[in-house]
Amino acid sequence: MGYYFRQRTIHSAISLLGLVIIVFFLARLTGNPMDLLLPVDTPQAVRDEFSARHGFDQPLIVQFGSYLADLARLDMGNSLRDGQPALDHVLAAFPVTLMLSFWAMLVSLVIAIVTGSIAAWRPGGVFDRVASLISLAGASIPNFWIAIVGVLVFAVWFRVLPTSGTGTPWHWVLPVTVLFVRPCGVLTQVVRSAMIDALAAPYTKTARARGVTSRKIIFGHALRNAMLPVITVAGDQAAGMINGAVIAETVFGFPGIGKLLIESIMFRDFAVIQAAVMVTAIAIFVLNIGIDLFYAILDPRVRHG
Amino acid sequence: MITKQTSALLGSAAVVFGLMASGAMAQSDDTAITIVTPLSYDNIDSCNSSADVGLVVRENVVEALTHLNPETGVPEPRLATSWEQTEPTVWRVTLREGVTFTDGAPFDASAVKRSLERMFNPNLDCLNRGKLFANILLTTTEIDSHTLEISTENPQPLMPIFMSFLTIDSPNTDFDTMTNTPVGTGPYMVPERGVNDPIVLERQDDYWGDAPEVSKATYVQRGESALRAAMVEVGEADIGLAIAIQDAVDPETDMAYLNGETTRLRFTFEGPLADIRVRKAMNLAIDRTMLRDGLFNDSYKIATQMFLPRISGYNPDMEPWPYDPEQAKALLDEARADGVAVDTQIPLIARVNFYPNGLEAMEAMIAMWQMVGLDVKLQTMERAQWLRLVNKPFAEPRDPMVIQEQHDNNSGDATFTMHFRYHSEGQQSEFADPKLDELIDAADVATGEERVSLFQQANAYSAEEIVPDIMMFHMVDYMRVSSRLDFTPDAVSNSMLELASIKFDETD
Amino acid sequence: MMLWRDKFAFSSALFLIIVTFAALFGPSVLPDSALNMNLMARNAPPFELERGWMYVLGSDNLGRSLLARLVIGARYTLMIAASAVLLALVAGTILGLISGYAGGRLGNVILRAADIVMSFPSLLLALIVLFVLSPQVSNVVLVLALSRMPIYLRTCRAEVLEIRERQFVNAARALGATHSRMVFLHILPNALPTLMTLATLEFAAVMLAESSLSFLGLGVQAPAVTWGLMVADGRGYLASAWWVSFWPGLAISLTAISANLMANWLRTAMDPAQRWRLEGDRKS
Repeated sequence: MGYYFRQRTIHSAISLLGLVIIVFFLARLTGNPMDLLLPVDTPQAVRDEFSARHGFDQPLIVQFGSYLADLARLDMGNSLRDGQPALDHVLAAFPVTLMLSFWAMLVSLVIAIVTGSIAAWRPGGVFDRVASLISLAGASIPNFWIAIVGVLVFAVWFRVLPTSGTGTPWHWVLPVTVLFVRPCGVLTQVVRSAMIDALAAPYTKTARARGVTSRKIIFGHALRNAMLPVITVAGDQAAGMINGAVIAETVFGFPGIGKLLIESIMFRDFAVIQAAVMVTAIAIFVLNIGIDLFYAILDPRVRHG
Repeated sequence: MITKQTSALLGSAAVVFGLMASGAMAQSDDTAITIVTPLSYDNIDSCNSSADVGLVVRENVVEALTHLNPETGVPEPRLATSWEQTEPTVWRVTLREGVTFTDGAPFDASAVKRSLERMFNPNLDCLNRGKLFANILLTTTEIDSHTLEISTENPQPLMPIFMSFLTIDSPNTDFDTMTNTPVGTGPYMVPERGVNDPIVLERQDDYWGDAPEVSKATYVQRGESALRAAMVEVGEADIGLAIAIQDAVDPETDMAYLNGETTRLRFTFEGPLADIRVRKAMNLAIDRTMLRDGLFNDSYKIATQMFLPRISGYNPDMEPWPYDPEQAKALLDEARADGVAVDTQIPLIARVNFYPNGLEAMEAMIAMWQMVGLDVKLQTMERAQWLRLVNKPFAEPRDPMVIQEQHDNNSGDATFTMHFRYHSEGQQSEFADPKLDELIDAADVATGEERVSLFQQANAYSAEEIVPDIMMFHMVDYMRVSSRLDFTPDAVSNSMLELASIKFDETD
Repeated sequence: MMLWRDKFAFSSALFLIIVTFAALFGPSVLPDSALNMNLMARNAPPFELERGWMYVLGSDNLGRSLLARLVIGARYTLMIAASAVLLALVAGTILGLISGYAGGRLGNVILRAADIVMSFPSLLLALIVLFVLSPQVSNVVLVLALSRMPIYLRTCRAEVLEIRERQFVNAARALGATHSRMVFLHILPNALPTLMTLATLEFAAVMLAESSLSFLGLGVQAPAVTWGLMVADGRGYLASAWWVSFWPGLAISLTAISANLMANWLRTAMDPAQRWRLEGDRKS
């Protein structure tokens, strides 16, 4: 176990280093941020002067060297937009996205497990058909569309929810909805098919024959066995949540890492892009390791795999 | 079992819904307002006040020496009470007495001197320097506590206009780093805030002028116009900026105002576009009235030149191009007969998310050119890519292109536009015409009536003899203003939104 | 026959066939005038026939027939989604086979690279491609394929690892089968059903990802048109002319749902242990 854990951490560190290198160079392919910062009518001499102050006139490899040197001292540089440390921006934004993703994932999992299990009880039954169609529809609607329609319906017509922003728990309802709909649709499908398999397995049949109640069979025996594929897919969905978060946070003005990332990309705020990608990547690696550990607990065979 | 669970689910859904309905939001302080903007304002340092952030800080937090009248463009006193040109290169400025910064420091000549020196500090990314004073070095000399002289290397007849951009910050401001909590003499101050928190301005009690009615203003950012409009509609915000035309449906709250921007398409003088007949034909083929009424509305003004009538140097006698596809075809035939490659495909370079309905307008114009037999192809660019294309030095060889542009002259004088776009040395000029250069050079050093007349001549000459562009419209923005406010936006609202001019509607 | 029994799967298949036909032949059938703009008929509402049947779904903010644009958009949308899925499938499968079958250092390097791609925000990738290359349809395909590839890679690798341990593969190995024979005759055919199901599911995901890119202004650029771009462009009119973004949104959703239903059906049909579900009399 300890060996496995160490291996995973080393692998993650290697991937992280590769990511840092790629992000650094690819981001700089997109142009000089000073072109964007300065007004259109700025003379070239001033552009050059601004570029030199930030070291953008240096060869890329020199810039990379000083970036690595700073990184070694845990200094991720300052935002070009407001001069604040990039890491401060990211660490302020990260918990917002984490909370958003956590709630979205929790809601999806609960709904998916309940709906998927009931649907699997009678595959092809009315509940199964309706649930399948709704979950599929949920997984197939562009999320920015849900966001805007959600605001129009719940905030403007019915006026039961705030349009956007943060503050009260009510402010979280629409963003979490936008984020949970797609993973929930996918997960319901996964739970359903895993449960169908589990219910068809010999041990459930035996339990059924022994007269164990349906509820116990579904939520006791079968579900535990159906959890492996569900956890895998849930992990992938959670890791992919950053893309959904970009949309939800952009529309609703949530100060999370998705919004920070897209704004930094638009402004070529390299230090913030790098810090945000790195923190996100670390979170995803931790998540993956967590899932692997969970796996190992659920299924002893994996430990040696 | 299933029914039991379903009903439990329905029951909890009903509870949740009931809770939602009771979750109404309370309006806290009735003199606090919220302004929702499409952009986020990152660096609100005083020395960036001529950029976008001016909307927040200019005249609210940090005040300038002069203030341009939004209707006439004439400089009026603000922190400076009077000014005179004592020599061609020297202006003597008298400062307002009895003014203090919100941190208690006195406002005097040395504070102004330090503030200007800070703007020229090479360690800072001051946008005011980049935008306005890149080629003009200001040297300040204190005469007495409230008098100073500002001198320049070359004569600066426009100094009073420049002074409207010189926002003065407290002498306690750090000289070598930019700040997100600027301190000025204005009626509002900026409290400390966290890195990702919205900007808040709070009224200060010791302002030298009349106390404004708004006690607190919060600036929040939302990218979607529909959302900004909705926020004002449901009372979460009081002012929504940049409301799209299709969302501006309520004449009670949605106000149109010329935003100072003018749009055009610029020609590169290459390939078929080197021929003036082709450039004229492309102008004649556009039905501007149809374009305006179809995509925009009649608050938009068809433009004949790159700036608004309030800018000195505007030529009121110029006429917009008529819509005459027959003449366009005739000109193209003539050019074709002379061997001009009229039938080559011409790229139209458009910018993504430039102005509302911008891409639609480009597509409509392409369809109009198609009707006179021109093959124009839309190519979209993201901002940084587009910037590289429009600014000198141009990449060689330069292709024949039509480039979508928008220009905002909010300074009051034609030179900021003319030199830059039409003079052969201009950063964004595509051509060299000795006579036009001469007119612009002469206008640049002239003053008064003569200056105005020379710029007017230059404008007319360029439009008639050179045809360097396809003029489109003086653009309009919509602002949604809550009915509890008494406020009307004007042409400078996009670069400076004075909270002091916002009153509360007593009748509401 | 089996397909006919499952009404949902049958309707999805029918819908997919119609959409494919529209994409293949629609653009050539449309009258030339179909895409002309008509600024006097901006945002014409749907179900009004006085403007002709081309306007049955209404018109967009330039007065262009939404029906005609949906048909043109179908071609681009399906082409982009299909190419991206195919590209990701082929590349992911090859890399997955290598990393699973060969293992060792090379296998590890491939896995780490996949980890990097998975933690690389696809939006950043899109912006870079849009900026460095040009915003062409092919580059959007490239971005989508690259960001979705690791899923195939990991699935394929997992399948290979599992299949490799099965009896018949061990037997074949013992009998001295060559590597290429092992891979193409024994391993790939057994991994393929899972990968095909995944690809069908991914088809829907890619269409949605493409529309998200359009929403952020990073996707396909006009004059090319995809359903995603139509939804994104029409979102500004949701309050005043809902149909502009509703129809393309519906097209995306229906196609995605159909693809998903087909994937479910395929999965069941290809799995002998579950085929009984599709055959008439259900027992529970």
